[in-house]
Amino acid sequence: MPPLSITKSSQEGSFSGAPLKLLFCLAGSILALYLNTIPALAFLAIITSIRALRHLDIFLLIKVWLALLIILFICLAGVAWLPSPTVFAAVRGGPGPGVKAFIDSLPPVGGFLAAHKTLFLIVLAIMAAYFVYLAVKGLIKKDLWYFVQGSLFLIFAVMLLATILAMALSLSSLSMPRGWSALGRSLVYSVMPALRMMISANLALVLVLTTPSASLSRLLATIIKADWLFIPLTVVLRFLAAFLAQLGLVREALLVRTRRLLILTAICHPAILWRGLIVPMTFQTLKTADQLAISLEMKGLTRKALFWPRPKLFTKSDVGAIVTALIVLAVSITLRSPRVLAFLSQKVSF
Amino acid sequence: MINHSNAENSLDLSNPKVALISPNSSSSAKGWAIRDLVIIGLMGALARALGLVSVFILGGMNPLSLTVRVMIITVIYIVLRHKVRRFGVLTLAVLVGSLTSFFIMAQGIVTLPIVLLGALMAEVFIVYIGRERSLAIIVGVALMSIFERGAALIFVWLNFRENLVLMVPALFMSTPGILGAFLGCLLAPGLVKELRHAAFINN
Repeated sequence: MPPLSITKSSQEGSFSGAPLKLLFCLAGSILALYLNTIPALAFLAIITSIRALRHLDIFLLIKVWLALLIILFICLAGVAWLPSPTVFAAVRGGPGPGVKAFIDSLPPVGGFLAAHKTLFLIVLAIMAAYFVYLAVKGLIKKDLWYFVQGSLFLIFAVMLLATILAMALSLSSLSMPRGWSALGRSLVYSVMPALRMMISANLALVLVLTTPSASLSRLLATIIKADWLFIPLTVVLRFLAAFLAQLGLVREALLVRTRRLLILTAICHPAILWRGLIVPMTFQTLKTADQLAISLEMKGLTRKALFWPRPKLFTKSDVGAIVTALIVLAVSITLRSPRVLAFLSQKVSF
Repeated sequence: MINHSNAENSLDLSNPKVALISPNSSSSAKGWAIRDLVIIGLMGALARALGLVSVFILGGMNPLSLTVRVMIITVIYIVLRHKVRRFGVLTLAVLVGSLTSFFIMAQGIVTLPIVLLGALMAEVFIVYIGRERSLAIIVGVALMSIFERGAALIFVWLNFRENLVLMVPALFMSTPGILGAFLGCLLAPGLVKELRHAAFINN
């Protein structure tokens, strides 16, 4: 997992509407639940680990993901269609069973495109043209720092390792390994919940580290009418990022005392984790709780006086985003049906 | 009646339609006091933050990090229950934690009813059987943690009941949680004693 930057201050990107970000995080988590193959989950986990995602700049994200998709498709095309007699002899004339299984494990639209060369090349050309347009306009140069910050190389290195590991575990293809016992298969598939949780954790960091407390509070104020539930939820979401920053300070204090918070240190000296991290934070939290409660009471805030009137939940752009997301979800579910794929293959032939 | 114009950053008190409030109505005999709600929220945030950081420190998802994470949450719940002596604290804390997980990670909502039931049973045990004693609080929170692990296993069984062998990894992942709850119950009394000595927790 990428290191947690708990000492950096949170920044708000251009994609800063709290309902939209919440929808984005939920959609990502639901997509992770929907995917059920290791390479696809690994790819999504790596996508959500991009450091640029933490800044939640939608235009930057589109550019980075577009570049990654272009490079991925070029790699797939090269492996599938490069007529080299020595290296790619197994895939001459078309994708081999392993690569084909890998392509089939990608989202259904990508798999459909990869199975039809002409359409694939047209889509690739459009994406490349847009990328070139962005480069000519100078919209990539400024963001190149994020691009080369290790994200790209890390992404493909980890993806390649994950794919090789999955292929090795399955012995011959990326489908269910034959001849393995149920326990062996379950061990392979226990990787998937870990990948799903990694995706969810990355998306959670996006929401928590880049959303101002006021935006989240306004969102919750509209959804939750009960103040006895609204106040603790707001406090949790407001102070989660603050606590992560405080934990960063504690970590630095421990580093000054030459105590690195590593797994071996935690195993060999568990008292460091307890006395150095948990106990100070508990004391700090109770002190903060008392101070915050006293300040709220001194200001005369009670349950009845809070957050009135309630703000609007969704704007036009939020409604548009939700409708678009639902349409994309419906299309992706429909395309996953074998009957629909077979029908489209018959109708759209190249 | 006094019109308060300054407020927390999440309030829009510049709007003239904001209700005027009395400075003396800081809490009511019925219902939750602001102080209690703030403490529940902050301890919930602390549990989340410490759990997240401990998982990162201990190298991701492995039995050790799962054990430490559950241990931290158990300790936080025990301290919270000692701090706020009121029926329903654990239930509200569990509800807030599950909703937080749902809002930011889209998880935890399916097992919420069972987890709430476990928290309610723990509260009944603490208040009516244990008479709010320290040992009753520790036992109650331990029972609640074990109930949560059981709820997760029930959810896994619902998914894998056709092939129970696939529950083996789930059992492997639940055992560290039970161990973590046990460790939390062992370590929490020491922390509560320190907090009581520092006057953060009153008898």
